[in-house]
Amino acid sequence: MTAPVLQVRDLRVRLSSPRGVVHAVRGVSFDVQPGHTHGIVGESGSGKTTLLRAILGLLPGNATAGGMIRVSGRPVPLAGGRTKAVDGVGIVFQEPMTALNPVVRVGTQISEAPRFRLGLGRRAARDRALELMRQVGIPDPVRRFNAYPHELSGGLSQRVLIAIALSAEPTIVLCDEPTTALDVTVQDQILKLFSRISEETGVAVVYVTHDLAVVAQTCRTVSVMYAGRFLESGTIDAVFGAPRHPYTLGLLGAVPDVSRGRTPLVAIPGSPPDLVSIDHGCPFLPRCSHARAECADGSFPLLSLDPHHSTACIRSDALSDPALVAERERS
Amino acid sequence: MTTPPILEARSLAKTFSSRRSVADVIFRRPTQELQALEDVSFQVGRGESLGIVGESGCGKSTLARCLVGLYPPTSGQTVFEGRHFEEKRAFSDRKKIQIVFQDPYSSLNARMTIGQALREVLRVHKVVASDRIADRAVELLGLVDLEADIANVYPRQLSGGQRQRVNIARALAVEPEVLIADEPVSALDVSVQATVLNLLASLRERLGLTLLLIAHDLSVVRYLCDRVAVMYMGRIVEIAATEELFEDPHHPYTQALLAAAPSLERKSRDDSRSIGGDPPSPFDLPGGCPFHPRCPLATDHCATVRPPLENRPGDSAHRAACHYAWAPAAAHHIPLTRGEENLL
Repeated sequence: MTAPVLQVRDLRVRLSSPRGVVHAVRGVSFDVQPGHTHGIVGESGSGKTTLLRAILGLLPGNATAGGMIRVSGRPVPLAGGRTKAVDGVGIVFQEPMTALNPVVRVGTQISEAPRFRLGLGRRAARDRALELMRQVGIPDPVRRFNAYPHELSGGLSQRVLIAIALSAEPTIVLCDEPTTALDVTVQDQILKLFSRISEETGVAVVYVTHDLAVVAQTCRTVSVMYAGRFLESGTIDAVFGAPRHPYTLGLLGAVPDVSRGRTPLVAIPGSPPDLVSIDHGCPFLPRCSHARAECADGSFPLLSLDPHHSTACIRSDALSDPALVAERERS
Repeated sequence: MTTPPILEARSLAKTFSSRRSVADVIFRRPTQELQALEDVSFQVGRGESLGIVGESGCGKSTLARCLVGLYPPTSGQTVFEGRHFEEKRAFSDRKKIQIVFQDPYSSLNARMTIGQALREVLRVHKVVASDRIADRAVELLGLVDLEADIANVYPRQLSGGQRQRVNIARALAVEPEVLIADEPVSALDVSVQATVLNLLASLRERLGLTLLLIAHDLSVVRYLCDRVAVMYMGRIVEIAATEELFEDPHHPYTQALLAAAPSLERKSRDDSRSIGGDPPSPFDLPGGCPFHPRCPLATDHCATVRPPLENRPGDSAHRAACHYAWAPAAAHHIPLTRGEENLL
């Protein structure tokens, strides 16, 4: 097995806020292999954006972090308030319109990293930017090079952001809900672009979203994040096909799907916990229908079920109980 | 439809003019006009749920606002139980159609408790006798599965899902016959979307409501609606019963939309139906069929002649606005010659 491009070990991030300390990330570990696409699904407030900022080395000033992150073997500084992202990591943000500088030409923004990070000359950087624009499918790059962001549609702006993320020759690209602001048909084009780029360049992708279907379509492996922890991790087929955590199971039953008719949706009762006053014990306990007394105490790390699947649920055997699975399939 | 429709849109059109700056007046630049709705007609039967889907800018929210009476349409009429509304809607008519907006965070007054917000509606519209108002507010909260003590809290103390339920309760306070929900769950977390969707479904059943659901998310519409209308650039391009539309779409745009929607259950993707390009600028709509620059089936005919919304032969319930929707497959003649740009 080759060395992973991204290693995260027992990452913990606390953010101080006027309301108290927010435990945004509470012991997350995972690896991403070169060229792989790993998805992280979670609801808002599950800590997924803080996790991405930690990987970039750009934790906010009110953050204190523990644990370890390595990108291509090099440790990422975890101090809060840094302003320079680590080398080798690119990021694509959710809102393409607000992530671009509105008063700087698109081409200049793409050639910035090649000039100042890779040390290319002005002309070489311009050539590199045009090459990137072609690679991400921006039609007529020479004309678009001089355009300002407001002259571009949402889909084109997102392509520009992807070009910027790729401009400093990263080994890994982080995507924070990159298609949430886009229309379905444009989202489809961007998702296809991601698969093509990771195939062509061998760059690894960490894809963060709340949309299960998008992850199923783009990623090879997935982690389900909840209240700052990973509750389940594994290949797409394992996690979505045979979920072994009640939260994953609940999510799958709670979202409507275009390919499915009117099977009734079952909502997960309650709402996600407040990360200020989080206790030990399983974070999903108050909303879980499989909970037992022993779920109230303990740390609940990911337990390996097989090489491609791990879960944080100590009652995962109950979830794979044949009688229960049969009942699920009937409904 | 055997029963007369409860709500009907008759050739609704809405044009917005862009704001003119001083420079525009001095240099005599023409006013830019945006045609948000163009000749939109449909009927909704009592108790039916109609979904309206489309991408951003297709006019679906403008349509909702025209139907509720928040925008006066440029031309065309909203007909309710066979009677069309005055241009300035009569006070008693405003109760008939109510709307729930997308963003539960901004559609409640932050300085009013939930109880105050509900009681205000009940008082202004004289829905119940004044000594029953407080009781009725609590009943309304019960109707949307909220506890009575929610009446004493402010919106900021509620979660998104709870706020959206309060919005539904407020819309139902005046006992409307038609409820329009404009993207009711798109601002909510995935695990709570189901509670709001299920609530809408059960309210429809319990109260005999007619529901118009506006969404960009096809899966939400498939879950809740009996019929679906697909909009593109201010026009309805296809309308049919839900299962028929999802299983046998005839407009190339509907086909592309379905092919592009990510799904957990479908592994193989039908790439032959997916389309490139972005939706055109609404200020500068292409001639002919507005979809032709992105359409994989477009011919020169499509670039010049705008296709009307036509019935499927022998079936008036399924209509599509494509020259070739009801033609045999072989009739797709010479594809339109296009520049490389449109293909990307």
